[in-house]
Amino acid sequence: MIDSDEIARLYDRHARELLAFIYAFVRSRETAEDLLHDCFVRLIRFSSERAIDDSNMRALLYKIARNISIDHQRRERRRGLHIAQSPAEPSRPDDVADRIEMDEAEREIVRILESADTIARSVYLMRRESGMTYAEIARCLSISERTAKRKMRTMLAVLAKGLGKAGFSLFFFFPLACLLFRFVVF
Amino acid sequence: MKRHPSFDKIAALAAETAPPRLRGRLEEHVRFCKRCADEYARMVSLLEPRYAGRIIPPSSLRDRVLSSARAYSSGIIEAGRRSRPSSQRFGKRSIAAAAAIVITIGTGILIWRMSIPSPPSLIITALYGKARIDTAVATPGKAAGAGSHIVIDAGSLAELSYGTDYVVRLAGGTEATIETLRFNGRTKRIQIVYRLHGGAFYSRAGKSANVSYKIETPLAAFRSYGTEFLIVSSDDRVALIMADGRLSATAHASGKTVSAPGGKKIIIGKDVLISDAGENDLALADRIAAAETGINILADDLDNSGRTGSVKAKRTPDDFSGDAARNGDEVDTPDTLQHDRNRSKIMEESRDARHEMQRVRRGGRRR
Repeated sequence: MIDSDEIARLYDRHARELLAFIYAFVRSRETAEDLLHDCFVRLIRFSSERAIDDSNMRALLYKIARNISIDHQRRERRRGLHIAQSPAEPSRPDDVADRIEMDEAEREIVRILESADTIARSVYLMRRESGMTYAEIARCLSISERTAKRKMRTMLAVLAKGLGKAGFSLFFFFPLACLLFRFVVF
Repeated sequence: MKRHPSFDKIAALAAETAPPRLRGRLEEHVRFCKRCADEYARMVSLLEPRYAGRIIPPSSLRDRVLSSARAYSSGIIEAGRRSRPSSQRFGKRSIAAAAAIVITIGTGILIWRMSIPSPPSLIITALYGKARIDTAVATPGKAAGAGSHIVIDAGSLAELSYGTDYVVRLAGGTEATIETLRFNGRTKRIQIVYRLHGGAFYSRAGKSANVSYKIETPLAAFRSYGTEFLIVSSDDRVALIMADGRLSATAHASGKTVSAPGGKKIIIGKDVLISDAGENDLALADRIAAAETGINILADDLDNSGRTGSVKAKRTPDDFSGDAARNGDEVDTPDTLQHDRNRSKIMEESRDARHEMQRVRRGGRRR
């Protein structure tokens, strides 16, 4: 069983990236912190039940984090409490127009990710937020490296296409919105 | 690469999943093609971390995790929430499971007990004269179940019923035992085994009665299901008159089994004889079926006795007294004698005709 010193070491090394990864899933800071806590507790419990390969600890932590996040989302959906929260929470640019654009783009990404399968979504977020190699992602998700690459490629293409359509509408409506904004303010 | 690469190929390049050879060509194309370079840049931007580095866990979270880790070692905390020890959880679950099992089994037993019908019994629905069931005086409404021994006094009549479609009538001087009376849950049928020690036993069962029965007499056993018949049993012979339906009879002495449909008569004595039931025989069955007074029916009353017309009309219980009744006023009327003569003549003619036919056939074969 992992002792508390080892947990402290693992926490210091992986807590940030794990929190970002979980946040990308649940998009609530408070929930993400709770789930990160649960993630480490589950690791302790898991280590008490079976032997853990120390070299594989990161993959195991991501696996647990992903499972916890998906479970949480399912629970929320069942309870009908799944409300899309502001995806722009981490960054708060001062410029109002920038913030509007960021919100729109991020909201579109979230929408596309939610419509994708959980494997593709996990591959994308692990790659994007944690910069994990495909080999590591494959180990985390118990899939082949080739599948991880294929999922990533497909996810990226879908996102680019989806955002391209959204960008097209933004191209027309965003300047109009800015003009209206200035007209109303001044 | 002269043509623009597909969207997926640019995505493969951005995601670093393109094979090395394709990757070189794509990179070369993107270097000189502005359109594809923009697309590539857009895709690469989608891979830039958005939250990593921006969201920093609070220091309190580290303390919370470590305190939970220490607490978990002592078996108190699980997944951020105070939890009960697993043994306690298991105990409550076990109790709940055990309670559910007990309730289920109890309900099942209750339903099963409720579904079991009470042991069936025959009810005395009419009684003319005197009868006894197991030495107790029978009265209308009294029940006779399995093992009941029924004795009908001479010149009396008792009617026993099960439901509305099964009636048994026992004439005066009859002694019978209900050996078996049970409900078969599989076939949903009442099974009755009678032992007719002597006397007259009339039975009428409709199909809806769903009763199958067996009547054991000293000389033969009868089996039937849904039919109407009269059995008259004496020491030296037993006679069956089939009014309706079909019934099989097995002679104990010879082991021979015969089956008789409605309108036939079986007499089992030294031999087993089957013949058409005479008018008097059928009238006898009708009479016991409709009697509203005590009657005696003897084997000698049947047509096979050669003394037709011996059925006595409208006798009251007072008219009979044991053997005196059997040897009493059995009067052959001129009408019945004439009827018998005609019948004998017809039978003789029929026999002669049959012999003549056989003779002609044999002669034909010789030729």
